[in-house]
Amino acid sequence: MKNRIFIVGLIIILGFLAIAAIAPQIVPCDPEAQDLYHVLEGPSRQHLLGTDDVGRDLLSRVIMGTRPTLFIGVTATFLSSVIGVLMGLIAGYKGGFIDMFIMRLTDTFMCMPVLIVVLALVAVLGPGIKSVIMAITFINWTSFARIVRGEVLFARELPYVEAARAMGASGLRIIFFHLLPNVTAPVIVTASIAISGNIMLESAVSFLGLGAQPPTSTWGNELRIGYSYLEIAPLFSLVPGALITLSVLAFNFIGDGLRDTFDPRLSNTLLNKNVKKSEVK
Amino acid sequence: MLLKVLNLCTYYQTGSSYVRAVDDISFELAKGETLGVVGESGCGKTAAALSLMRLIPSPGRIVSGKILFEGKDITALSIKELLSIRGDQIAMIFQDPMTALNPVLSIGEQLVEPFMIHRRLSRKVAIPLCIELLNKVRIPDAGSRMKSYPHELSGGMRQRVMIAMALALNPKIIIADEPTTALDVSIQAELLELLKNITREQNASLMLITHNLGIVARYADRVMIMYAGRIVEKAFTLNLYQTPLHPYTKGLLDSVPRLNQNNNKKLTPIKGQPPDLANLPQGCAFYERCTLKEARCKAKAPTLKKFTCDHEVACWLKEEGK
Repeated sequence: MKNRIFIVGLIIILGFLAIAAIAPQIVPCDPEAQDLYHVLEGPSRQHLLGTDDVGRDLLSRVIMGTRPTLFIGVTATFLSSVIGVLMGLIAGYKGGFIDMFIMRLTDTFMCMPVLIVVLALVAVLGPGIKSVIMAITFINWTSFARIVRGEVLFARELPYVEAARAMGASGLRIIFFHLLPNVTAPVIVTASIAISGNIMLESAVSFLGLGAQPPTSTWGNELRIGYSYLEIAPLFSLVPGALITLSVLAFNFIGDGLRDTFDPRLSNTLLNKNVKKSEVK
Repeated sequence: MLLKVLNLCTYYQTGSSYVRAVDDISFELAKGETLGVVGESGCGKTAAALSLMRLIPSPGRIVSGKILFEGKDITALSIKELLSIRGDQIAMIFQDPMTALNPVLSIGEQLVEPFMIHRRLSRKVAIPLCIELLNKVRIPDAGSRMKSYPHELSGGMRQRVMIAMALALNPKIIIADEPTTALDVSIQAELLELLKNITREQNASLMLITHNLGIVARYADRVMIMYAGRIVEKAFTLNLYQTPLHPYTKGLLDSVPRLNQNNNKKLTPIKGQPPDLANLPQGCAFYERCTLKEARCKAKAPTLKKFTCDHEVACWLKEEGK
């Protein structure tokens, strides 16, 4: 059952990625060509999803919007996982003062309301894709650091680390060659769920007008403009909204599926619970 | 002398008290020799072995003493010098092959490591050497085993891989910390035979840590018996088994069945528990469990003294050379 959900998620994401890859080739109209005689129109043969407030083809706009949305979600997650994993490895392996310092730092970051920090940072850095990525990375690395630290704390006491040390392996070698491969599974799971969170975050920032700037189209941007014309052209905001929801769901499905594969104990406990329930009945 | 340990003390600090895991031990290891280290759990065997490579995990620490390896004091080496000795000059085989191999790296990836670290060989050059090693420890189909992961191998196989890894660079000293405890008896003999043969071939010294007196009798040239962090008796294997001097050694020998003995003889266990290393009583550490205890044993702990020229013992009763 879980496996099926994972595959559904994967298919949706692969679909989005494929669309993003060939977006300029498949758009039916020029996404930036305005037609002020046909604004906020409903679906027609020429414009399958209708037009926006300046008469641009909505379908073409959301297709092009796939690119920055996915790009920001994936890149920000990748960067924050790199920083977080490094911090977590150092904290977990070194322990002591360094560990305490990094962990208190993550505590501090986790106290901050994510959206407000991101908005403030983007406002300082200036709106745009780069700023959004940097701001999300800034706030997002902590969860990776904490997870990796926990895993390393467990793994570094295992005999194979001692054996590596007895073989003359340096600290760096133990961290990157022996410990890093052992923490990748939880990192991948966290990353796939973090991507969905970051897509939401990016959309929120765009919705508030601080994301990618016009005329670049992102789902969040479309949602914001379309929102003002909800009664006239409902598809204008419903379609980008649905796409955001769909991609977030799909990444969550993937994350869930991966977690079940990497951590069979978790699904076992669920199974056991079910068994117990049926026994009670 | 290849290795000379002088008055080594390794303590673990717990709060304000010390756990004296290794308490003032001295011993020597000659080239090509096999030294058996025997004692029950928690008597400091492993701590002594880890001290030799300065691998004592915190809060443990070598408090005093010298470890002279080829004349150099290991306790005074820099980390860099230490790293170049570990695995290259002194190698270690761990107790549990199930956990001593990294579960997410293939056997090959782990076997090439010593070559890459100490010889700076590329992976490509090291792989044939590793296959040769696996053949040497008699792992069938070595080429394809290189790509296997630890969980695909049996316990015996994994311990063979550990042995291969330890022997990779022809170390001068191999420390085997209960190498066969986690394996079943039929594989034990095979692996120890293998270890013995290869160390003899490479003229390496072997420090064999075990609690199995049978293994020591068969494979060790010399034996030292440890109790509560100290060496209580040190002798050539044959001497020790024929004329055990320390009451603890006698107790150990009486508590295991022997084939060449009268079968009707009852086994006599050593009564009581070893003392708490954080809170050692005054006098001889074995006092409470000793069958021959006297007043002077309680007053002052005996030190290791020569009884005959190759037989040392730490017991007041054997003090006068009788």
